Amino acid sequence: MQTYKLTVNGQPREVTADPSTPLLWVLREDLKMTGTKYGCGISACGACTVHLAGVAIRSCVVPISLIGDRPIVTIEGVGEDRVGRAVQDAWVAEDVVQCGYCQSGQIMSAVALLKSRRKPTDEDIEESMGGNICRCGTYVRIRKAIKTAAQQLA
Amino acid sequence: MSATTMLSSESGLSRRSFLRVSATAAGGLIVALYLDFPLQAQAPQAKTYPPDAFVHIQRDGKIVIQVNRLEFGQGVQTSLPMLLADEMDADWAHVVAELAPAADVYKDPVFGIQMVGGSGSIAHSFQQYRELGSKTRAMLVAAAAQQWKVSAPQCRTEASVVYGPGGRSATYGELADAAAHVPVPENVPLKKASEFKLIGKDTRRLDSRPKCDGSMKFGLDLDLPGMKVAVVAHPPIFGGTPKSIDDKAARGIPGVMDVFEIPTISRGTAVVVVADKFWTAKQARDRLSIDWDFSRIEPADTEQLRAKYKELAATPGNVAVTRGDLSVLDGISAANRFEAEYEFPYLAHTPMEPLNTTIRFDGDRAEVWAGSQFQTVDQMAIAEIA
Repeated sequence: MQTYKLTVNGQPREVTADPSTPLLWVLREDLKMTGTKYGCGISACGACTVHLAGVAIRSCVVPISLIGDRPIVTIEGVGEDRVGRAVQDAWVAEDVVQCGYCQSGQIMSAVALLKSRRKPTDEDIEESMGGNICRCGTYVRIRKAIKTAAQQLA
Repeated sequence: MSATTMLSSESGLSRRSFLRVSATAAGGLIVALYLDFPLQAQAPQAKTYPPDAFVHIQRDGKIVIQVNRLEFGQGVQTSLPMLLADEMDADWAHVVAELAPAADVYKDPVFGIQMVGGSGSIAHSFQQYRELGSKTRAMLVAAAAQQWKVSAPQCRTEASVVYGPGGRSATYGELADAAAHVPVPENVPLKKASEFKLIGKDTRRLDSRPKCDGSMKFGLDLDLPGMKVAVVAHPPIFGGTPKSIDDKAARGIPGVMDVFEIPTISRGTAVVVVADKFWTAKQARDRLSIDWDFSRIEPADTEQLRAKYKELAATPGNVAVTRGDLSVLDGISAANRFEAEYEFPYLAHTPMEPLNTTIRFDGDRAEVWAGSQFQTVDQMAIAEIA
């Protein structure tokens, strides 16, 4: 067990965990932030996507020992950011969600995309959202909502 | 999601349900249902358990509607409240949907158990939710009419407001306390389709925001004080049993509390690891060394099964429905015939949330949270084990 100092959604947090523990379980079980979802545990579904120093990562396969001092942003905090809020609002406006289980990850990936591409094309969207699976099949509305958010932010 | 095999022998059809209204300590109107069990001819008094409320109109105008189905993304958390809110003439902006707990009154009126499946949520509860809405509206109107000393037909409703003669008006929230003392109407008219304001109209989902900001709680998100996590090493083939288990490495991990065998429903045996947290339990499960015994399993063979299915598909099946003159089909020429064969793999629902259950058991009463489709069946299964 080791103690780690983290910055999560701008807040300093301290956790004691086994160095192999994936960030996902530190967030969910130690910090009680359950908005980030456990889907597959093998980086195949994208439900656990969070931002690490602004980059969308799969938190289920990143051990806590590799985080260092890089800031973490989760679905609980992404709305404090202008792009994050625009994406969440677009998701609601376009009625994207169905069961909702994958949507934390979808939104985190979409926010990362819009921060790097202000006007993403269909190809950009497919490329960067391809690792986020939705069992309900909300892909068409996800694409629409990303474009709605891009317009809002333009 | 076919539910036909899950039908309870105790059909809900023979029982009639009745409305009961009550006020709460905090004020407002609660409209609940009770069932006419033979030994329970009198309307039971308001009680906290088992719950029976369907609508709660609060003094501030908030309308909380209990949804008797589970939301899987199909939209019942929005569509069933739409039915009730439409007949009630409720202001949709003030409607809040809540998932009803497991209780008799929330059983599917047709299936007789509490469940979701067979695409029956709207079909089976269309009348039920609309009548609840219409009766609630009638009581609010009666309360307003009493206060204004006018007749109910002189009043009309729109967006959670009752309007009376002479420009009088009162909101549902203002009328809720008084409506709790109005007799429950026996029969109420339902709207004509042309009068619908919500049903059949494009309406935003009620559960979008919490699903977009991480605040929606799924089964796996539950956190109880002192809760332990168990993960299961399932036999890799249905019906498999461990010949031997080496759990030394697993038990050596700090936080691991126990390793033991449990029976599976496929008559096999699985191995369970209990730990303080998920990651501890998962690591321990990965370090189990299990030698599985498959000798008692009748082996399934994909090719053999496919051949068997093809053979069965060629035999006459049960006739579900017959319409028109079938002999016309015999007259179709070979050139106009099109034949195709469809094969489907064995598919699971594969929800993205891994199947999970949390049970709080005090030796007498079990409280359960689960990703589930059949609350009543789950209750029966838990009662059998507990």
